[in-house]
Amino acid sequence: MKIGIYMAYGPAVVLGKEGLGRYIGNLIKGFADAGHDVTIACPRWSLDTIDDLFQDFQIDPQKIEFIVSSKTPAVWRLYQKRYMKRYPKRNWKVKAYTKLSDFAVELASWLISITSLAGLLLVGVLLFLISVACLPLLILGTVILLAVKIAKKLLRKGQFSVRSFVSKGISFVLAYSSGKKKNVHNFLAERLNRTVAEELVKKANQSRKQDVWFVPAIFWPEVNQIDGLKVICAPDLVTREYPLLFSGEPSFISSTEKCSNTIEHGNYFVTYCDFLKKHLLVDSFGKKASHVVAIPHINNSMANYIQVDTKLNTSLCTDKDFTTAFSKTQLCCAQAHCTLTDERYIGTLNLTDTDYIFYASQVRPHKNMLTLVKAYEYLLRKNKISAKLILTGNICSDWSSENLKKYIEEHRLEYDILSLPNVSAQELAALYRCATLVVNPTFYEGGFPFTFGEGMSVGTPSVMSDIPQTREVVEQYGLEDIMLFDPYDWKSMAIKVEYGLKNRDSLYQVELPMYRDFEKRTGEVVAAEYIKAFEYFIELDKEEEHDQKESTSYLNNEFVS
Amino acid sequence: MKKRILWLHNHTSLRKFEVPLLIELGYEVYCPKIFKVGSGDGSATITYKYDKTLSIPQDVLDILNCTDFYENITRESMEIVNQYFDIVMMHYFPDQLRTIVRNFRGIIVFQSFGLLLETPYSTMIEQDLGISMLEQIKELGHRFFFAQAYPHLKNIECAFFQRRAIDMPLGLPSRKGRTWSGGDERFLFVLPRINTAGYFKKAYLDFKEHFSGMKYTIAGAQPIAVAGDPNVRGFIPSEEYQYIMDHYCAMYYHSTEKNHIHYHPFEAIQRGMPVIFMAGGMIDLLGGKNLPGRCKTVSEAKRKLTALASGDQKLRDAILSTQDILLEHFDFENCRQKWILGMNQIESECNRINSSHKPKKIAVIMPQPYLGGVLDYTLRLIQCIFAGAREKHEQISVVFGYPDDEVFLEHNYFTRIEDISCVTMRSFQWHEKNASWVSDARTLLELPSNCALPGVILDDQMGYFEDCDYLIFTSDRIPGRLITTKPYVVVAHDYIQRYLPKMFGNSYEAAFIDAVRQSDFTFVTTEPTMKDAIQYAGLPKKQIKLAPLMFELMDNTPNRNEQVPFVKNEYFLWSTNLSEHKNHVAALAALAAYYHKGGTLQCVITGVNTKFLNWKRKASEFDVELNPYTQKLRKIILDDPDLKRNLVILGNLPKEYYREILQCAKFVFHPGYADNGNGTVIDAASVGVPSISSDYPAMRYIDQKISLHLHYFNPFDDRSITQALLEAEHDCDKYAGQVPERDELKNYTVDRTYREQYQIIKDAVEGFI
Repeated sequence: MKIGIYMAYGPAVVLGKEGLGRYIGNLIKGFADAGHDVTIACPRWSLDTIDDLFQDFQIDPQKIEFIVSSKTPAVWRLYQKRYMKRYPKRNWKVKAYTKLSDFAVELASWLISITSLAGLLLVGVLLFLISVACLPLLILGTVILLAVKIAKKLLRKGQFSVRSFVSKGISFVLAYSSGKKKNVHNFLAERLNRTVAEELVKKANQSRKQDVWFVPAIFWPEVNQIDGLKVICAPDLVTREYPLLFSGEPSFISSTEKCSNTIEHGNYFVTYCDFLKKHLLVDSFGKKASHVVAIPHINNSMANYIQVDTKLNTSLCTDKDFTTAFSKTQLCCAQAHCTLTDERYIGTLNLTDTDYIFYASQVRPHKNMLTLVKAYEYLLRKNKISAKLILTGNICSDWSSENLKKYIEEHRLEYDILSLPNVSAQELAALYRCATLVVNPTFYEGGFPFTFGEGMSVGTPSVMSDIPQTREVVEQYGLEDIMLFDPYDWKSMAIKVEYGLKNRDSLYQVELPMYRDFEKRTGEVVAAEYIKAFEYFIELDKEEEHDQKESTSYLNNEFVS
Repeated sequence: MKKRILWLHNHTSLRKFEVPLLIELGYEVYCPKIFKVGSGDGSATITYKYDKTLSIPQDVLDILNCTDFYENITRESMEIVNQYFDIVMMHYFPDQLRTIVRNFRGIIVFQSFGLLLETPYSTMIEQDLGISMLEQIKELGHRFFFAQAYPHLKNIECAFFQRRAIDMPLGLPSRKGRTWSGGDERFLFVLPRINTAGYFKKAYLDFKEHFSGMKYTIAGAQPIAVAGDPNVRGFIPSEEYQYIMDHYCAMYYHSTEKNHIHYHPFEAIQRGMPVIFMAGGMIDLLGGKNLPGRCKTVSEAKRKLTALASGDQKLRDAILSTQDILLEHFDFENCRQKWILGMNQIESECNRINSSHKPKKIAVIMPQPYLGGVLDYTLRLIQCIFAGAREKHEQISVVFGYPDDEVFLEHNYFTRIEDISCVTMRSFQWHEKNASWVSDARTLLELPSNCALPGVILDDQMGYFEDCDYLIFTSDRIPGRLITTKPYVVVAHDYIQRYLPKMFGNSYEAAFIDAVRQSDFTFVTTEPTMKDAIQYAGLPKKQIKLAPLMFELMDNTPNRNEQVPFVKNEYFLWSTNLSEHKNHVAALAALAAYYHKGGTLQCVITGVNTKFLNWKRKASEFDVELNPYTQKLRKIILDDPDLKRNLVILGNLPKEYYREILQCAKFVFHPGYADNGNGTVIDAASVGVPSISSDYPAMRYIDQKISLHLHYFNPFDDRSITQALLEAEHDCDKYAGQVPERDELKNYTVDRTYREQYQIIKDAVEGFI
């Protein structure tokens, strides 16, 4: 089968780090390994991250064809260079100062070591002459420096900075023309993404025909302009589900519009669970149930990042758990990412023997972190559960984290709730491994949460929200009473967390059969399910085309007759 | 008689060279059999091969073979080592170093092989074990050697290490013949532990970035497999390894580290394989600055590797004919000569060892002017040290340090220890010192002065307690970063602030947490506090010692007075203070409900500052302004006629009077929570009175240890408290029957706990985990 994959992610997206990126990597590998012809249409800026993804998933780049956008527009490159990258500060000033002071010390030492008075006098005269010779240069230098400083000050006082002038001008024009407050960055990024997405569609249509175009996200309404059959993966549309939670951030309005647009004009879809198939696509967007296939996630095992070869045990004649020992060393690296908690506390904190509850997620309104924090506070202060709570969301800067930060600070929980954003995959695996319990308090997910498989793959059980996306899976194993809680009730959450902490081993054992089934969902297996879905959609499309032709000819005949 | 060496390494290549050489030089050598440090580095192995060369009894050898010399040297093993070994040769493992330095009486040879990033060993030791460890090493004097594998390593170390430096170069076991013949266009890059060591990970990523497209194999043990790169081979079977070493066109060596070098480039040179290496690293120092294999840039390395791969005979010959110079440093015979010289120096010091050692002087310091539980604990601890040392016939002297505060002028609180002959007392004041002062002090200590931080010092107007060998702080309330060169332990009683966040207002207790983190060990007296020390203070478990519970029983002689003054009816006792963790609001609500429901016992309230609750006196009548919390409590009482009628507030009482009141109570009421447990319930039990208590971990722990048979209630639920009060009134006789016998309680007095307590202190002072 000839499979085109269209993904017009923005320049800042790093595929290897995101759950979705890992998902795509597995699918591409699965498609390629099964002998299908894969073509990827992507912006030029995504090539590096795709290259990394290929290395991570051992995908042979020779087997994949690419349709790539033209060179990144110069305006964007300049903008990116000026505003998005952080260059290390030059340290030439420090070096020069050090050299100069070293020289001065040397000179002084030499001067005071002169024993002959005549010699000292001679050197003094020489130094004086040199100083006099250098005086004009010194004066000139000082005048220039002063002039530059004064000019800068004047410009600053009058707010006459070219940068701010341009930036304010653009913002003003944008605000005026659209009636919405958009900053320069959003404007540029959006425009650029749209241009590139359109260009990719054009190029895709000019290239050889694919049997199916697979689109792994709903961010690009342009895909509907691609000729041929498109299968769009519609993971979720949380901003439409919880509009009030996401209000106040203009970028969500345009992204929601785009996603809705993509779904509205799309024909065939894949979702990650039955609930989303019915709730989002069939009920909300009126898509035919036969046009949507639910394919659950690939299991995302973290074991490979930290699993230490057992040969080490043999050579050292020991039964020590080196995997856990190694993971503990990684905690030290992970805690270096800490925000919120003061440096003095975190700098020498030793997490080696610490129990903690873990939730890996960005801070987003629907992730329901404040309820988790309240449940945790209750457990800590009233029920004397001594564990810490570790989050990977950035409580200091993630969008919508203000309330969370305020609550934590007001209740003086900064020493017990740690925010460790931007951890590497290996550090994340280690955090899962060393956690006592994984908790997921979310209101809404695209499918069954990744956190379950990520934790169980390294030996840590989970408790999670009772939402349709989790219930439809957990119920099959009769575990809903043990591992699900009402995400709107902090006490229910606290009870389940406490149970999980106190019964970690038995919880792991009862969740193991479910995880064993998850484990079977390898990239290969899921890729095969996608192929099956593609085949199904191709057939369906043919049938519908045929039916449509027939009904058209029938109507024509009727009309003629 | 042959001298014995405890050779504390497990590095395979190092052992192959050093152990046979030492044996040849006439020593018996013991190699450790347990190595499970960190997450393993793949180059360590275990061997029993040299056990047969030892002339020590088999049962002794068996004990040594079961000892983890890296992370947990036992007292028994240490005694054996002192008895049978003259020299310890070791590298840097923090726990090992502490125990060996504090306990071994022979020669300590600290072998340095160079650390990455030009980190000095002395800096590393200070970071991990504090200045005190460097000072203890200095005190070893001539018994300590800094044995450097390369002659320049000492240059970055502290002055003492420089003075004690000797050369004991790293050698390679000699090899027969050059087996390399080439013929394979691939080159070899040895890079182990890519996924387990950040340094190697970075080297790997850099390498991949620069050398992609070339043909190569990456060898080296990979404890965590490197997925997605078929060039990373991990463990290679020996036949294939032989092939690689004999036929690959070259070896590439990336390191530009100035103080650390790996074995494998030299192994390649021994076999006659061309080595292409980056300039600026240690190879330059070993004579490699003009070698044809040296590359200043990556592109130069790529060019040379490409040339060798395509069979550039000229370059190959040029490299092969010159690179042998690098082996000179590792040449067995050269090394042997230097080792003989080095061992001769060590031997001469062996003969100077003076086995006498001066008695230890331990300072027991109460960091704040406490008058209650902490003072009692401090004095008991001193009694334990005295009793323990006397029993073991160990010479020890104790200095009791207490804050220079006027409260200690009003009354003699220290009578209990005044008669102990080995105890002296001195007061001190905390003085803040700025970074400049600390910097000067570090310079005088011959340490780098650029990392000085301000802190506090124990000013005893003599020498800042520097005459003592070890400090024991009986509370963690140290008011800033502690400046001392002495090792110390801290007793952490509780972490109430974790549960009652308003306890410390807006200020966080950074200094208290620093105090325990920087201590040798932290003592706790209950498991819940131990948990908090791990979870909240962030200490590793091995740094915490659980000390025994230790109480004092109240005198239980019958009361002289028939009637307790001010109390007309039968009553129960609530001993409290005005700290919020005493849970007054919930307790008063519960008491009001108790009287409303027909409770008949009066509630007698005693304790520090409880006089401020006396509603019969106006707030303005007190010398101090009452805080809002106290005023709130007074209002609760004033607004409730039942409470006013039944609460009897006696304030803080003299011990004897308190005992009389306690003895006549029906039971003791303890509604507080979150602390390290409340001693009143033990006071009560010692005079046969039962208690009802809040249900929280520390009380459960004490109850479980002593079998007090407490009756619990939920401190956050006033209905639960009321119910407990009603039941206690009804069943007080039954409850009294469950109180343990006085003799059982005696197990937790100084007389019966001092042995355990002393042992824990001794272990800490001597550095045993």
